[in-house]
Amino acid sequence: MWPLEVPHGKPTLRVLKPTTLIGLLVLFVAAPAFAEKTLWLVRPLYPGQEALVSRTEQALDRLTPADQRPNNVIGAREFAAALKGKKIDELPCFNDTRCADPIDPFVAGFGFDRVVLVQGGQDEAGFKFKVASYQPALGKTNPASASDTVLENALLGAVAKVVPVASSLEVTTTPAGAVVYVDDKKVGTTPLPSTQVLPGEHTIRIDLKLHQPIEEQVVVQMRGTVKLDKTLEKVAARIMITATPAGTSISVDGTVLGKDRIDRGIQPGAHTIRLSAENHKAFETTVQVKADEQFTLDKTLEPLAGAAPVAAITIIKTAEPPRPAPPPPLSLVDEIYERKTYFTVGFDYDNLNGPGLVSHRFGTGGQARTLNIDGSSPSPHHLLGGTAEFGFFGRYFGMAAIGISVGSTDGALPMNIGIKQDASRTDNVCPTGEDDDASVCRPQQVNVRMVLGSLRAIQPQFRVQLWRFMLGLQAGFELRIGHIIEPENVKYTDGFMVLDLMLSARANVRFYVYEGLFLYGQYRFTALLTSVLDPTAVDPNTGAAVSSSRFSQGFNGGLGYAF
Amino acid sequence: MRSELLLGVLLLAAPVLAEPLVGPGVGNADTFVSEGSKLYNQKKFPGAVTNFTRATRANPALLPPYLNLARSLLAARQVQQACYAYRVYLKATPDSPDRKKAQAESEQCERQLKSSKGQPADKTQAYVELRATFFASLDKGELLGKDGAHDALKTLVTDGFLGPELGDMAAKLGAAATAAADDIHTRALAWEKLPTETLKSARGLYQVALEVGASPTDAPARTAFLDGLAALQSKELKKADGLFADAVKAAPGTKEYVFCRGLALVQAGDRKGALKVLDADLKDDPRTEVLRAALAVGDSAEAGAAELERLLFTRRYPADK
Repeated sequence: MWPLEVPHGKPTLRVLKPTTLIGLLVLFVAAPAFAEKTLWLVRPLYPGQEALVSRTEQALDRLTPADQRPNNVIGAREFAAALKGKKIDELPCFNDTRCADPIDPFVAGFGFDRVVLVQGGQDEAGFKFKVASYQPALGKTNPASASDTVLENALLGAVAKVVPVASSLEVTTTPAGAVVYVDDKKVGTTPLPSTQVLPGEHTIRIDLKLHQPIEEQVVVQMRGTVKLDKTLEKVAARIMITATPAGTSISVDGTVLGKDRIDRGIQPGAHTIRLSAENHKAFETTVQVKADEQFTLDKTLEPLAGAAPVAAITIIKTAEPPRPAPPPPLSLVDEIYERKTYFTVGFDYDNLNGPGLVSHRFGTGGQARTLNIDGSSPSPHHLLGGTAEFGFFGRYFGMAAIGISVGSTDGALPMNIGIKQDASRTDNVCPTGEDDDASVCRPQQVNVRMVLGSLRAIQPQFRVQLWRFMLGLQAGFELRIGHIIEPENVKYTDGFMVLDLMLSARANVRFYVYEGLFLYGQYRFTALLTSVLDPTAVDPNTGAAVSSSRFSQGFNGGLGYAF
Repeated sequence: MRSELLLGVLLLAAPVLAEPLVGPGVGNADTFVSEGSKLYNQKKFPGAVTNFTRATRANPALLPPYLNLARSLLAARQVQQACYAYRVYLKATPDSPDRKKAQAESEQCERQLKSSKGQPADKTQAYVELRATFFASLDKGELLGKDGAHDALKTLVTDGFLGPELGDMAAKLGAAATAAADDIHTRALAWEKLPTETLKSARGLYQVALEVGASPTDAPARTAFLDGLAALQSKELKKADGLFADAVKAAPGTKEYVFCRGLALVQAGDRKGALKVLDADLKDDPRTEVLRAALAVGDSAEAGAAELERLLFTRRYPADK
């Protein structure tokens, strides 16, 4: 045989005194578990995850108590070190006793009571470990597997099923009688005798009424013992607050003390508690904490309208029933901010300055004609009509989803007619049959009435609320559609069609009268970007292309409701 | 090396070289009859006697050679044996068409025997006793050695015993010898620790089976294997290696012969040679893997650890269902 350096043995019974005998019996039963010589070999479960092997070996190293470490050979490197200088003189099955499978006696010959074969991998769900505990002396193999988002938990979850790794926890406190929780599960009261726990990281909480609770993270090693001896500090009063959703900020008297859960001593008297979380209505209350009292509050914040729901976390049990606290009212400003959607309807006044539109004549006879408003007389030209808009907001930024304005001129306007010249014409005769004035084709100017509508959509906007007033800005593209006709002396029977693309900006102010009802006023400024129908309109007087930078402005006002 | 090779050839050939007593191994009965008749007609009676006798050995159930033998013996003036041959023939052929003639010849022979002088003693009684010994030994499983069934049958044949029952006796002995040898082989394959003498006896049993016309399966390979085990037990490791190599050559399908060759080499201290042999034919056998791991440990601790890890994960890690 070729034993390794660390032998193991079992104590023998040599003393017959009853107490000694019992003690030795305990040792005798416990000895195999503690003196067990174990080899741990790790391989990746999935290709390309070799890095996980060393992480797993390090985790095993951490989780093995120092006094038992010599009995554990972890990983191929330690295994190689343990094999150094070993000579195998005799091979099972190759001696006088032949057999079919010499692996068990061969491995047992290295002195290992147990070989734990670990395969670890990581995927989207977390860590997965498949473990086989092999006892060469018995020729027995037990497989197990476990998954968890934490490597140690997944590893220990699998190992604990097939390897005796149970550890123990002992807790004593001054004063005694405190309740001990392991990972939020009550395991007993102090003095807590040796209690079995699984190895790994645990949260130990020690709780005694009117004493400052103690919460501690401990790493329990495999087959290890953790002993805690704590002195609990007496407090005048105690406050325990649990809040959901996860991430809720808890402040007492203006000082943020933590998130989700606090449990601490506090001076008796009045205290203001405030709970706040994103996308949830803040909660604030003032409580009176008496001396020698434990105040408990367990609160779930209400989500704001339209906010995504947040998964609630577990609510801890309280020593006393929570006191009902009225929800704090929202401020006027916050209340208005909470109104995210609006609809407005109102009148519209527009002022067309200069040649603010380019159009195309209806009909197919003759050459194409364009026109523009005569900006000289009378100026400005007015349009009167109505408008409506629907949109929505976040707290400050929003979007005008869709808006429409329709207006009509309040009288006949002189407009210039542009003619696209026919290059072949040499006799000064208008090819479309208009009145020929020997030098130009008539008419150059007609009196018209027009109906113009504009459609706007998905315009970004910004708002800020000051008391009942809301100041807003919005800007974006608009599409203008119109129909122009001659009310008298009709020369162009079908009139003209307008189809322009414009850029617009609006500044508005709203005054909230009652709840979501508001009055509003708005200044509007638009700039003609181009004519969709005939972007190459020609000025009849100059022969130059009609400029695309034609501006108009106006204002509107009306009623709206935000909800 | 040459002498070892010669030894191996001789050992392998031994069962074949043993002189057949009964059955087809003796020769073709019809050929013997034809040759005997030819010699008889040429009045070469001793040669005719030899051929007709061989014909009765080659196929004891074939009856005409008995009558031809009787006539040849009578012509050769071996009256005692001739009368015995007539009696055997007449007993075996109660309904033969030439029985009347044979009966007359037999009576003539018996009269001549009474008047003849210097004839050997009648062995009929001795044959009865030998047959009883044969069957008693067969029943007791005593096939080899003095007074064993083989010895009794051999004495009967050499002493001139005739009769169709000789074929039945030979078949029974052949089956018993084959069964006994195969049993030793089966037990040896199942790693039962058998005495060296038992292992060696298998060779004799297979020889007997072949002598009496049986055809044991893989007799040369099995004989070499069992002789190899006997040599292994006697620590004649080089001889054992050679015998196992012969066994593997004669029956390549029996993997245990391969392992035993590796075993002989390991015991002779040639682990690398053993691994070479085992890797060739028993690559995935756990014993080969253990030998490979042991050699790796001997090479270096790192190589040993890697090989052991591979061994454990492939052999002791449960496969996914």
